[in-house]
Amino acid sequence: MASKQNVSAKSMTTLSRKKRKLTTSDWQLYSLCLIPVLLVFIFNYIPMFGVILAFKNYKFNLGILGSPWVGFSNFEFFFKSNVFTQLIWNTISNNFLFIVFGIIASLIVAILLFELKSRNATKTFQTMLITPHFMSWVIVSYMVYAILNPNYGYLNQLLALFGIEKIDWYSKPYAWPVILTITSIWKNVGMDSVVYYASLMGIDTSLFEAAEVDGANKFQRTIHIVLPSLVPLVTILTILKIGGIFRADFGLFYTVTQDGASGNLYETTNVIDTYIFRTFKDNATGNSYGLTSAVGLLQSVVGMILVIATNALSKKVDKDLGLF
Amino acid sequence: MNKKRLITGLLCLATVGTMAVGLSSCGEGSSGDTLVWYTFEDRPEDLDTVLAKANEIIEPEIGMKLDMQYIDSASYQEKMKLKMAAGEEYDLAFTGYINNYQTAVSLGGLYDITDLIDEVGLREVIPEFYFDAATVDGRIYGVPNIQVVSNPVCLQMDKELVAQLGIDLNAIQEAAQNAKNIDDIKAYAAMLDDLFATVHEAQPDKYVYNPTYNLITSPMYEELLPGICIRRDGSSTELQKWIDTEEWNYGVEKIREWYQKGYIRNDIASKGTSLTTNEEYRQIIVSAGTWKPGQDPYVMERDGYEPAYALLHVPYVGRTSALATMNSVGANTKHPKEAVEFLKLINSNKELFNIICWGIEGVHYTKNEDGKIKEIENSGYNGLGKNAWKYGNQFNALLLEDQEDGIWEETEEMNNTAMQSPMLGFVPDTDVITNELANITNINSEYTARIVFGTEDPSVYMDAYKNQLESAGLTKVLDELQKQYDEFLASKED
Repeated sequence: MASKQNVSAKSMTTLSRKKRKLTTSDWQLYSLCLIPVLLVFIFNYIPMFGVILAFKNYKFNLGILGSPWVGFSNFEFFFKSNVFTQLIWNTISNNFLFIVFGIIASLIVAILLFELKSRNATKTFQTMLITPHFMSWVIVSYMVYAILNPNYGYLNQLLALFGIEKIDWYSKPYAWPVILTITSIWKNVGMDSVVYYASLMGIDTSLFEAAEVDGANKFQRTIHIVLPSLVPLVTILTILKIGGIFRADFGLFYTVTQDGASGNLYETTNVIDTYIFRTFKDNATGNSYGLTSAVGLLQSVVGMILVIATNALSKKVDKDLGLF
Repeated sequence: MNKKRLITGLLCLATVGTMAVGLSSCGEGSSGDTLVWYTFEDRPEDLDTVLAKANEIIEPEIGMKLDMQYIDSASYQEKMKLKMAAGEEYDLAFTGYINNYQTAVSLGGLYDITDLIDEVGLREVIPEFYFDAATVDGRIYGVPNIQVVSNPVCLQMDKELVAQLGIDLNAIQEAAQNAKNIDDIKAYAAMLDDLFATVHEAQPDKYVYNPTYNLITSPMYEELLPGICIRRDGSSTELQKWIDTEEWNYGVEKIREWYQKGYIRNDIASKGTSLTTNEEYRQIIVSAGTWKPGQDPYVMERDGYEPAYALLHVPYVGRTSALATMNSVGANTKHPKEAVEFLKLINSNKELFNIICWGIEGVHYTKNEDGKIKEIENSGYNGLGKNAWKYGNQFNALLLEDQEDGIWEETEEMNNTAMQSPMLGFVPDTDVITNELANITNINSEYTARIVFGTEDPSVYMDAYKNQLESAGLTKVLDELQKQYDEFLASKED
């Protein structure tokens, strides 16, 4: 049955990739497209000119073009940083956890929602799961604080009931990759599962009917029909997420950890974005524009390389998987 | 089909139209004959009336009108950075502790007014040491607003409690102010131990102390840049690493001891030291802060008691204290001379200054028989004078009813007789040590909880901390700064 699904996916892609002749009556469609393209050009391509800041010592009175070129010396600051390896490791490993467990969690949620018979129940659960997505990280950070506070946090009070001594979570760096992963999933799982859920709604129902006739139970149906049909989508979303693996969610790593709890949690939660912020928030140096642009550019370049690499890799596994 | 075409056509038109509206709303600037002055606060409702009155004084003097632009304080810093980066043609702006003066100078956002200061004669109205502090590489980019610049670090307690428990704050003050070496510091720290133990026993449900200032090193040292300090008393021209001074190391052990004894709240790492509500202030028995004349009414309102103090060092003008509140001229101004003339006017003309601070008599405030001010509630121009240091010489501001007579004279006296930092006027060039300083800043913030709050035993992390600082280039920073400082001292003698 898995192969059957693959065949249908294949035929769909060939259909959409077939060249269509441009007809005059299409001009309306294209003119509608013009505006988004123009917006992307104005807001995404023209500002890319600012990338040259990464190679300059920017002074307001000299302007962007008039400021002196400094070559690659703006990048030195980051590479020579004494916590360079720690930053890279923390950023990638934490994001890796978010991606892997995030996908697993949202797949499970999507499948469970799909199995629900009642439409009202589906709507209710979906709304409940999506609500956290619209909360600011600052609010989430205090919810986490209410749970983990060393003196009167819910978790510590619960532990106390079982006679376990209170734990100051904000001085235990090794607990935080787990805490942050759970927080991140709690916030994003609803929104992520919507895409999978929508894709599940598109599965040909005759497959399920056939499976039922063959006597497959729910678990078998999930393994043999539902999951295979989701593979292309999972691949695409994973590739997109890997493009951002070098960028950390600032709100999560800065506010939820209560600013790394005054340094105690840096060991596992200091990531590129928080490092840059902490370095320049007190105006320690003059050329902050050049240095931060350099790091931003580096993150984008690495992200692009990773997207291309992952895409190539997934195409190697199966020619039809992959984003482009 | 036709209907469809019409709809799409309309859609296109609508989108293009929206974009056109968006584009046309850009582009407003300062007009020809007004000075634009940016400062932070919510815009007072009755600003126009007050400005009209102020312009009756300003226009004859400098031939231009004043327009004040208020930006809310939360976004002032970011908005001013954007205005500087965009090259906006404004004339004046508040710089200092927010919209940082030194950063703005190093980024080229301010106008060099060195020559204009002499031309206009600003030195007549502002004491020389303010300009010394504001000098960067021999040039001046802003005018400090005269106010208290010599406030010492202090311990503050409830006067009643002090009397009730028989605490001798004067003895602590004397011990701190006369501390010359580590032995003196140890004797002084022993007095703090006694104090903390006594108050902790008396009020066990409150927090003894909130570690906002380093009580052990404050009496003797001033910090230059992260990791580097110098003795306040000028007895040595040598800069030192904090980690090399005995006092700093002793201070780290002391804070750990206080943390363990429960004087500091045990969730301080996640809570931080900043206090926001009056209730939070009232949970602290011994507050560390700074002292200035006439602050008692504010303290009573916030902390709920009449305060008694121990000043941990004599009044002292720090290297950057004068840079906390200034007004600067924008880099792209069209009227630099008029802007500097205006700065002279606002700093010397009491009538004008008080109009900007308090509004118009009879409309926004009334005067009582002592010449003190009572604000008229909801007059649309309230409370700005409480922060008179935003606009100019604070000593020219009229007093509020609840302020004591003579606090400005007392403050001025304190400023002028205060000990001056040996580094006053020294502005280090950090371009060559940018990377090292960034690293040191980061290491320090990583150890904040352990070193400043005492959440862990120093013997566990101290070696690692010191090694990290050394490998981040602390010695290079010290050598570079020492070299620059020696040059500065030599140039001062000439």
